[in-house]
Amino acid sequence: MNPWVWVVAAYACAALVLGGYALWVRRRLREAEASQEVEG
Amino acid sequence: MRALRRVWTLAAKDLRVEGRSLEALVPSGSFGLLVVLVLGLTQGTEPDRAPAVLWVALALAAVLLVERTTEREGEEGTLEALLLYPGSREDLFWGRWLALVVLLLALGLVMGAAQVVLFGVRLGLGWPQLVATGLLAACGLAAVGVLLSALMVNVRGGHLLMPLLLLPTGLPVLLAGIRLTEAALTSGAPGPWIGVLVVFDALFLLVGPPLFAAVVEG
Amino acid sequence: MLRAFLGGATAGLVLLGLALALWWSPPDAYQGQYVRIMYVHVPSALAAYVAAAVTCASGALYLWRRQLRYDHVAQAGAELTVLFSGLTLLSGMLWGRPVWGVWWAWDARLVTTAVLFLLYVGCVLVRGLSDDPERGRSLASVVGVVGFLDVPLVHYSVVWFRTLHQPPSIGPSGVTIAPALLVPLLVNSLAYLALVGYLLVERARLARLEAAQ
Repeated sequence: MNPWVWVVAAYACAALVLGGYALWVRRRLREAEASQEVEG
Repeated sequence: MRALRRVWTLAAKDLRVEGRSLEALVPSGSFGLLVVLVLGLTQGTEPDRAPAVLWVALALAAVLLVERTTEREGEEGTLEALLLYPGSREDLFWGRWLALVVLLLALGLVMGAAQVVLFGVRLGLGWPQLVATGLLAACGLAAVGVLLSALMVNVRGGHLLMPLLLLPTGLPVLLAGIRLTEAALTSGAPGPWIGVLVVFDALFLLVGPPLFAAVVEG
Repeated sequence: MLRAFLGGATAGLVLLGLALALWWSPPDAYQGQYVRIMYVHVPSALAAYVAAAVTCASGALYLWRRQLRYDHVAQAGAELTVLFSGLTLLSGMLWGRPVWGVWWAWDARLVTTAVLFLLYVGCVLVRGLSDDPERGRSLASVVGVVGFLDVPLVHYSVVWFRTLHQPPSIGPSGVTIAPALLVPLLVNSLAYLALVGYLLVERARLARLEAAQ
């Protein structure tokens, strides 16, 4: 099999895991900040 | 001196409760024997497999033992009651630790005897090393066990997490136990394994009591 | 201000690392293009251990001082340890399969990383179990501290358990690294460390905001 398949798979895993987590944290941060402004 | 007496009283209390009912030793011992039986049946019973089978079964049974004693503490609110008494929190750790060491040794004795019978193990001259291994392993596992059980008392679903935390943490003890038992049965060199057990024990007996105190206070 | 700078620097380092890893780096003499997986694998392992160390230190500080800000960092650190050690295992498998022909080798570093992963999964899970959040925080802190202290012991006992019994398992250890491969590795390590730092700060801030609600 083409070695680039494995390389791309590894980088895709990294992007999914780390990017997904970063996006999840950012979204919840926005929600938390928004609800704090409402309360404030 | 007073602290020592407190520790002894607490350990004797735990052992008396267990001695009356045997409700932790009997289920965990039976489960351990079942694991030995199943592994022996599926993996073969050549004597050189006995150490690994013995220690895997012991580790699983020890998890059950710690779980059951934890559950009992929780059901009866023992820990809360004990916390009302004056004295250092660390004595509570040492009392439970001493009791758990005795229970683990009893478990090991039963399972070891089963190995001799089921796997045709010949003890020979290696028994002092086996006793030392058992003692050191029990001391270390009990320290981790008491600490984790203090965490899991009255925690919903805690008994499910106990194996997930106790088995990886106790992995060095498991590996050292297997190699030392092999060495004792074949009169081989113990290598670095006694050192592994000593370091493990020293580490968890050192950090165990303060962490335990921090958990039960908080 | 500081957060924006950290975010920008992290993004820049990650992009630079990617360019070096996927384009600038030559293929390795033995491993060919597969060596590019190393630029994910090794830095994420480094990041996982750094995150675990942070979890241990802040967990201990929380148990000692009982200030919430330490716990927020410990919570972030535990999640990041799971994340990066999981990624280390995944990328290790994707590297091992084409190069060694196996998904998994019983190499001591792999086993240690797997144990680290499992212990910190436990650490993340344990926080939510207790009805009392205060107690949940203590539980997670203790598990974080105990887990990290246990790691060196697990590592050496696995090394000795394997090597004293049978030939050492295959691994990339014997290969010395050429400078052309070392530069991308270092830049990527730096990028992952920055990423851990950035995610740690953001996740801890999220924990603080959610605790305040």
